[in-house]
Amino acid sequence: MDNLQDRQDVPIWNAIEAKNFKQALKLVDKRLAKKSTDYLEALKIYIRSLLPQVSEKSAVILHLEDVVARKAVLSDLAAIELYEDALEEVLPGSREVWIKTIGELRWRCIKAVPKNEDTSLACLQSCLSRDDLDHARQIANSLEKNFPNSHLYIFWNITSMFMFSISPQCPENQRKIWGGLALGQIGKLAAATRQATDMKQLPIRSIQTPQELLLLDRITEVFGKSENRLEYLQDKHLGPESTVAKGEWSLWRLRLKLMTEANHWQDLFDLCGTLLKRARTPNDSNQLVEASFSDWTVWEAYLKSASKLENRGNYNEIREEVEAHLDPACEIDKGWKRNASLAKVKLSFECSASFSQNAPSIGPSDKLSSQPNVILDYLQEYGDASTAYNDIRQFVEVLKPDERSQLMSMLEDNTALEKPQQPTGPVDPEAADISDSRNLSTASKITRAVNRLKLKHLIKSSIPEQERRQSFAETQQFKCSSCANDCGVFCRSCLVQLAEESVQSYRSAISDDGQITKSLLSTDRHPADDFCVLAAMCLIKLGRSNISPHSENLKSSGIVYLLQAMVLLESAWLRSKSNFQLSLMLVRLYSHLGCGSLAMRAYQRLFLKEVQLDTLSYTMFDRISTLHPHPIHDSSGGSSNTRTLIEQLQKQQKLYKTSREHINKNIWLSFKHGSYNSIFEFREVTQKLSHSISAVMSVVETNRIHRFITSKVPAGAIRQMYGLIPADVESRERVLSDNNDYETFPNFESSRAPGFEELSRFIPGPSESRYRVTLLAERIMLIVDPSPELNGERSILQQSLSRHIKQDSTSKVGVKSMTRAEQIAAHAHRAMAIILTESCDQELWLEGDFKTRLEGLNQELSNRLEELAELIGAMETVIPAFQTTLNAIYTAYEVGRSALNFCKYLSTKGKAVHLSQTEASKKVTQAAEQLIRVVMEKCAFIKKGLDEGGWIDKVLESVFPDSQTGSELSLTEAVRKVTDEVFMEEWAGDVVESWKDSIAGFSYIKIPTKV
Amino acid sequence: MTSLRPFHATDVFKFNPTNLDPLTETYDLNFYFSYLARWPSLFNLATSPSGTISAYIMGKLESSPSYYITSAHYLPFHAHITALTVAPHARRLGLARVLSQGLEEKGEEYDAWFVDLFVRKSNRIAQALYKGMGYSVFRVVKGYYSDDPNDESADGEDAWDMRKPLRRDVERKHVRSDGEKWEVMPEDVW
Ligand SMILES: CC(C)(COP(=O)(O)OP(=O)(O)OC[C@H]1O[C@@H](n2cnc3c(N)ncnc32)[C@H](O)[C@@H]1OP(=O)(O)O)[C@@H](O)C(=O)NCCC(=O)NCCS
Repeated sequence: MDNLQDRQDVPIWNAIEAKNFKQALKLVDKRLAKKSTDYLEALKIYIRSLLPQVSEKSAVILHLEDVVARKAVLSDLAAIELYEDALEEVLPGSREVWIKTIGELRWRCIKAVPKNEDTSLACLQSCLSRDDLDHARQIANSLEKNFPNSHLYIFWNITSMFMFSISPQCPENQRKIWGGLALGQIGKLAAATRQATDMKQLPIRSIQTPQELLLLDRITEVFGKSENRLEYLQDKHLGPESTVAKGEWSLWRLRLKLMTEANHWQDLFDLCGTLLKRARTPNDSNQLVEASFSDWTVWEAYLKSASKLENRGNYNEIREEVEAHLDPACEIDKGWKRNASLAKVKLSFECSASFSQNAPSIGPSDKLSSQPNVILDYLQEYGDASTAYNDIRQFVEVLKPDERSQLMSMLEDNTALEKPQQPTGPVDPEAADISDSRNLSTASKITRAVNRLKLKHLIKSSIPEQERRQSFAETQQFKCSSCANDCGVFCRSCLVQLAEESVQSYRSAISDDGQITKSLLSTDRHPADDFCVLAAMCLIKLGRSNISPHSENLKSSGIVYLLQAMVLLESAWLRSKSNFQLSLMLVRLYSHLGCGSLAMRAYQRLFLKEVQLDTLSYTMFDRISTLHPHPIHDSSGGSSNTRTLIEQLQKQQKLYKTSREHINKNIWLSFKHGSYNSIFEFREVTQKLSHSISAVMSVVETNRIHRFITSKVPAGAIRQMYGLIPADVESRERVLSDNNDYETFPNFESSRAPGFEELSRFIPGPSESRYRVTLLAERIMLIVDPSPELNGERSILQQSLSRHIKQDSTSKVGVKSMTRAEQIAAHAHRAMAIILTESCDQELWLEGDFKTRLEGLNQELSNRLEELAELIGAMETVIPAFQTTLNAIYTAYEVGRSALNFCKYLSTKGKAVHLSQTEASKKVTQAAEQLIRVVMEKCAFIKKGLDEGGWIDKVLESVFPDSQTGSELSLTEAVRKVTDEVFMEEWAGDVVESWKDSIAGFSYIKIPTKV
Repeated sequence: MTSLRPFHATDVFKFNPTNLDPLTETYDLNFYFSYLARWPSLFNLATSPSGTISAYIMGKLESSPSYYITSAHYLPFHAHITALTVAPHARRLGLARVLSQGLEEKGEEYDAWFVDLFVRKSNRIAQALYKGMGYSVFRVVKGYYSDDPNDESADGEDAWDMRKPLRRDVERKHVRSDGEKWEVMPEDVW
């Protein structure tokens, strides 16, 4: 009863609360008869919106439109709020209608009572939350005019104008008007600040805060000139150094960026030099309060400007600055000193000649200028931090081949990698021997050894792999530049060797009687984990490059490596449960092997929450409906594991709804606190979440799972679908936002090569083109779905399908983003889509070649169904069923079923469908039934194979095969030593159970009964 | 390398390297965004050479609400570290120290009395960090955390409320040398 205005209304509200709407209507009519008020009119409409009849619902909208058309001005906000509630009942979440009706009424209300500040604020907030930017702009303008002493409202007005001007709502011809006005107004405020004499007493109409400065820059960037941006940033009253800026670091960053873009090299060089000097200069109380000027951004700009100026003297200045930073007397934090050391490496790479003359002596003089030595120097100092590898990778990548070999032999020798006791003394080769990498008794020694091994992998494997990938050789056969053996893109012998070294190092690092673990928190990861990760990476590459078909999957040659990778990662996880990178890799490997329940187990170890469900759900849920569409049986129990797949996807979907509310709330909060920059950032997040590729995935997968398990999609899921799929998804080529996080996967590859997340995809990753195709298929499946619940949806879906087909007449199917089965399915669905649209379009029937065209489409559909049946029939390597097998099976089944439904659906339409379709449908039905039969046969074959005993032994034999020799044998031995028998037995048992659980889904597969 | 920048709202899509760690909670967007709306300059992060997030700090500057002023637990204007987290691979590089120094400087600039924070009683690493920077225990909040990452069966865990005085607190009124003896309940802290 929030809306109660008059005690006489109490009975009406009581009736509403009791859901006795008829009584409520009667009561309100009675009151209206006595005295008509806006409030009572609105209350009546609100009650009507609560009635179930569709006619009442449309009457509500008509009434609202009528109120607006009448040019009515409602000064009673409560009445508008009632209308708003009524609209929400009828068209939940609507935007366009809201703007035209409620937004307009709110704005008229403000025009009528402009001096009522609370009403203005309430209306502004409401318009902003509905993204009604034109009305918001007008209300903000009114606030500024009517409350001229408010500093805040001046900026609200500017912000709203700018927001409107850059939004899709703004008509093209008005962009410049509103943008130009925003620019002009904020420009005047900037001028006032510039001209002020007393910074402590700035006039109301001036820029006074860092956020206002950021707004100035934002607006100038879009509507002004870039030289103006820089001019502001260099101004003493508006730039980062000004009182107003309060040291805002992002203004410094902007200034450096713009100076770089404007090629102001000398000024930039001088500025960076000054900043770095200030960073290390203590203030009166002997504190380094400006230390953060030693940011890497400043060093980078410093080096870049020097390289552009091409003056040796500049390099000397940089060198002096580096040395001043590194001087032991300089007390700047080690985090900043590290930047200076890295600058030293970069400097040496950019001008090795000029720097070598004065380099500190670290070894025999002939080695001084060598770049590998510079890298080694850095490693010596910082090699005990795991980021050292990332810091140095970019430099190793630009070494010439002979320098790479030189560095490689230094790494092999393991000389000069330890931090010298006396930093200036020469390295004693004998001492270096003692500090052998295998001495892994402390965390820092382990990290050094890990860095060394990552570099070896980079030089030996990753860089050459990328070179081979990019070479134009047709045969894909190469001679490995590292070991001189014949190889493909991946060199088997190098990878085996690297994997073995990593595994051995891992084993020796963990055999320390728990010494290292003692100093760790239970939530910390073990420093040796990266040995294991690196070994697993090499094994995965080996597994990927050795795929040879065999009737039984476990006998194919690449599998041993993949199983070994899993064993290593699982056993490392036992020691390092918080290491999420181990879990991410395991999710991928288990999925590939068709172990859905184990993949889920690993996934749940990530404990994803909130926005992480948008960014990381893809690791498990992308294609879950063709991996494990049925409930997951998990013997390990645990409350979160019992959650169904659908529930997990729904949890993700809920995120999108609540986020919208959270963002709106905080946009308003930002207005109130003058955090203008945040407003624009929040809007970007809204855009990304409302167009999220992962949201589309969640919708598609949910519907498919529902359909697979229960043969129908509940109305609730369809409502979710409308709420989550962006309305403009059909109209443009690229609309979805890929917010997926691919970067959190471990990655030690060359920065020029694909990241490991990509390298380890056994099946194409998420992509907009695939989701578009699946959305099209989804629409077809819903249209032809026999369940009566969908009757109301069909015509809307059919309309959107026709629109889609008209707009996208090409038969493009994104090949790269799909498996073979998915590609064929996409073609089949496309044919169904066109037939659905055209066979009922009587205008088209008149065209001469229509019948032939329709026949052609039906033929295409039958052909595709047959092609899928052939694909399934020909699959040999299917026991146990890996992801590719499961994907083909479930995909084929789904198309088969939708083709059958499709034929049934057309047959119910009688004469509305072209006559010739009846015959064609018969053929399609036959092909679809045949496809499902083939699928069922394959399922039975797989099940029979898996029902035979001895799988645990087979798994164990595959992980540690007897037949190996040479380096492969020693790799296997190394892996074996990391584990023990009990662990292996248990793990192999889990894998076999998981395979069995995966194929339990086959029991849902059947030929739909004929109607 | 060490490079800092403000946390942008879209960074929530990229903060998994820090937030997948069990000691770092992932909250709903309202939580992060309300900080960006109110204290945008106190929410900063460190990036890696490839641009991924290595660490971040969320902070605020405020006093207890005025209705609380008569309470013994009233807090005057101070800076507070709400979250400080460093991705596991980027630890021990000084990032946490550098980020928290940044917040201290803001506290000084706005004339705050002290900087404070809550830390799990078992989190000796974070405690070592703060002690090294001049923080000390002000009081112990019993059962402040509802879980214990080291012990699934435990009901919860105590927090240490640690403080570092800023320049304004010339007489060191807001710190205690025996804070570990002062126990309060979660409802006493604001
Ligand atoms: C606590 C945490 C933020 C520290 O981050 P960090 O960037 O590794 O810390 P720094 O490198 O800045 O360390 C600064 C000082 O803290 C102390 N310290 C940090 N890690 C330490 C460790 N593992 N062992 C002992 N002392 C340690 C040292 O004194 C160190 O100085 P030094 O390296 O010059 O000797 C990080 O471990 C983390 O994110 N933990 C999980 C989340 C968390 O606990 N947050 C704190 C909530 S209050």
